[in-house]
Amino acid sequence: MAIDEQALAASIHGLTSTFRDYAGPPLQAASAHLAAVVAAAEDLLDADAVGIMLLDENGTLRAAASTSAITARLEQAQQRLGLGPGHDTIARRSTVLVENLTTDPAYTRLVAELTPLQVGAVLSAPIRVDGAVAGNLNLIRNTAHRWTESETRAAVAYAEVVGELLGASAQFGRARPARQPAADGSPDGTGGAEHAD
Amino acid sequence: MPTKVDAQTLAASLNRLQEQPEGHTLRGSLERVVDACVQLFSVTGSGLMVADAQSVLRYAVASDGPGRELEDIQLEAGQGPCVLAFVVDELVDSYDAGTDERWPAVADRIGSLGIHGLLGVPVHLSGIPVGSLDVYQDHPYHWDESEQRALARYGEVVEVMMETAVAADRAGELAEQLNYALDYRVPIERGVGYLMARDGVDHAEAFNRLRRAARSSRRKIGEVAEQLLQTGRLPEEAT
Repeated sequence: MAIDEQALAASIHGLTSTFRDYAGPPLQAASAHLAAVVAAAEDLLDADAVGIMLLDENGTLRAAASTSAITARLEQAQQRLGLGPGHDTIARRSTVLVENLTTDPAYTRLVAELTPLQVGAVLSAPIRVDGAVAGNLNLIRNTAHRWTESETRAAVAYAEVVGELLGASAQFGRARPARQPAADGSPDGTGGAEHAD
Repeated sequence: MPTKVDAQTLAASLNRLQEQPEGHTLRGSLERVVDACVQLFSVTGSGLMVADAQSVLRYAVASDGPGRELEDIQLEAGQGPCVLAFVVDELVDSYDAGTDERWPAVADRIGSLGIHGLLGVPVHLSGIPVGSLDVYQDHPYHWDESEQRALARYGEVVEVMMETAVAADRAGELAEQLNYALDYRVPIERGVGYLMARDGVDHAEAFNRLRRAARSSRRKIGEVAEQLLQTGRLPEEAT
């Protein structure tokens, strides 16, 4: 990777940012940005659906983002049962490839929880922030599929971009004053935000 | 279904991540997106150029040496595929950038770097073009429509990353420069709108008139926009 720090510093003159002007809580901006990146993953990684699970302050893996009802159900089921490809990715700190979730003996309980929904192939890549695993990016195919090396490399690279985004969002959040939780109990008053693609 | 984000889960994750030492810089974030770009598109290399205060496109990051040289060549000559994508504010594709007649002054040099099939997309912040992202192959290559759409889509990811990383990077010098950008974003937008109405041109052409005026007068684009709004004229226009 070649970098010209002086040139880059000079070029920043021209940058503008709505994010800096943003008067609301940083979480809303971070949420919108994460939604945009997850939605783009569906197109860029040729997946039928994409989801993200993240570790909370207690190290619990929680469903964070999803582009479809199937992904949401899959992630919520993993969260409830404490098992699934996402959990294995965290435990192994490496990418987990599942050719057919429905027939994989490792995930029988998970599949039973999802029935009658059908999930085919799953690819779960670790999201790292500053080298530490912070969650996972999950790609779903509706039918069975053997993930290729190039598909896996692309997913791993994309998960690194997501990690970079989360790390920068956390750093930005540190720079902003802490806010009181909203009346609905959510940190930003949104509860859970939906974002149009 | 619209993409759904659980704000509480995201907040819990960000709280956890805030315990880690600060280390995210704009540069680092841009390196990451360019590196990922190579893997995503299975290309030889990728690079990102970003405009300065005079709206001159400058080298930012590249995945490899030829990518860096590609950006230097375009900066020197003021033409090339990345410059074109930025100036016309549209995707530019080239089967062989080493023989492409749209940039005659640099085509040979680009070819000698081993850069041939090339695709570039403009990158925006706040609706204003601020740079261009390119991917290239070391052989002539026909980019199909799905690849063009995908790079444009990835350009949106780069924009999201830039917005977040710019906001997060609080290094002194960088922060001062960003304050400049923030101060002048509104007059630039208003100046573009003024030129669109006055000259009957589209957004891209209006922005280019503004940036050409900044370059030729060696002044910052924000200052030129302010003058335009005050006097109704660009610096080179007769009174």
